[in-house]
Amino acid sequence: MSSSNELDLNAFVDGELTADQQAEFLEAMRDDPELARQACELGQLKAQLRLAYASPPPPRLRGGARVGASWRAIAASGILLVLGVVAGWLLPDDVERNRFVVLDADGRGQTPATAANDETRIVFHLTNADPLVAAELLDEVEGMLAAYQADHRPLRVEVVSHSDGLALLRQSLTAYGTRIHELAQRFPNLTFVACRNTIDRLRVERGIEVRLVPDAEVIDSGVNHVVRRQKEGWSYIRV
Amino acid sequence: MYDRQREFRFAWKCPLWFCFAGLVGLLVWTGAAYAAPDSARQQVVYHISDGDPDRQRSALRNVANHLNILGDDGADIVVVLQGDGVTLLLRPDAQPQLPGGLSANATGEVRIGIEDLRLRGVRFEVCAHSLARRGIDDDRYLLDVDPADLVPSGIDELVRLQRAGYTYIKP
Repeated sequence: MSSSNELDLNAFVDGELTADQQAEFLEAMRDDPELARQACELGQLKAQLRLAYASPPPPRLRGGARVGASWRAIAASGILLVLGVVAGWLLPDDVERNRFVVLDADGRGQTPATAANDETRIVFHLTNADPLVAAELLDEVEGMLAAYQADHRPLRVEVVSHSDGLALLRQSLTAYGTRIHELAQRFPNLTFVACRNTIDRLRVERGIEVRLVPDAEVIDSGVNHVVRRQKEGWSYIRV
Repeated sequence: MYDRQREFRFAWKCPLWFCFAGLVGLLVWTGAAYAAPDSARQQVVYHISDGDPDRQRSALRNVANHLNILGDDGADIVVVLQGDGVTLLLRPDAQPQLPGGLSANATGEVRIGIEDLRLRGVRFEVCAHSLARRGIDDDRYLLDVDPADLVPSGIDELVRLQRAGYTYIKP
């Protein structure tokens, strides 16, 4: 068999011949039984090879590498866990301690600030209807505001009137309407706050339509408000 | 064949792991140091502004019970007397100085209660401003008050202590 025939034979078995060449090779096999036998043998060998490697085994992975990788992953996740626990243990304290709130011009802002802010913030919680108590409170508040102003120290004061303490801010009951107005005009950092729950309760239980002094602001719940202020880092004084 | 031992040793030789371990140790150590003072000792400020002797006695009982639970060394308790609350530390001879409706209460059972609490480490601070407002201008009317415990403003002192970490209680 010539070398060109041998090339053709392999090409035929591999199916690499063009249609014309294939026809020519088939005619040659018909004329040459030896060529036909060789083609048949070669085809069988090829089929056997194809069968044997039909699904070649995947390349064997290094078992040790997997073990090593998982050991490192476990160690790393363990350390991350410890870091997370320790960080979680440390952070809340820090955050709670340093959290203050800066008020806006109306005294109601919510912008968080940091402990670097040295503004003193005091919320007075007035629940007593006694005018003497209220008078002493107003004197204390005025004294503090004036002293801080003279020293150029930042100060915020809120007087939250709640329950019986609402009397201080009721037009019909307060003995200090003018004084409250003067203080509010003189100190923009002073806010008088009335509790809406108390106002609603007076209307429902006693049929009283509460009229407040013009300088009073209204919030939903006095109790909720003083709790929030304490959480925000304000000093709390119950009067 | 893969050598598992070699991988193990390699991991411990890596300097990064030492850095991690060191960082973790440091965090644990600072965390423990940071948390310790909080758990060790409570800081509490009691505010008394009521002149009624019964309510003052009840407030003293609150403080005593508080100490009974924590132990005398377990709490740093300051009592700030402000407004009518200053009458708690007024001797009976202050009575003529006082405006109507107020009584000088440092007598009998109250006086014993105060002295007992002082022995247990409780500090009583008195608002000088509130005293002056009630006509008390001399500390001879007061029950053994150290000049350092006569604070110019009780309100200022309450604010200062809260900012220093004291918990505020109004009995």
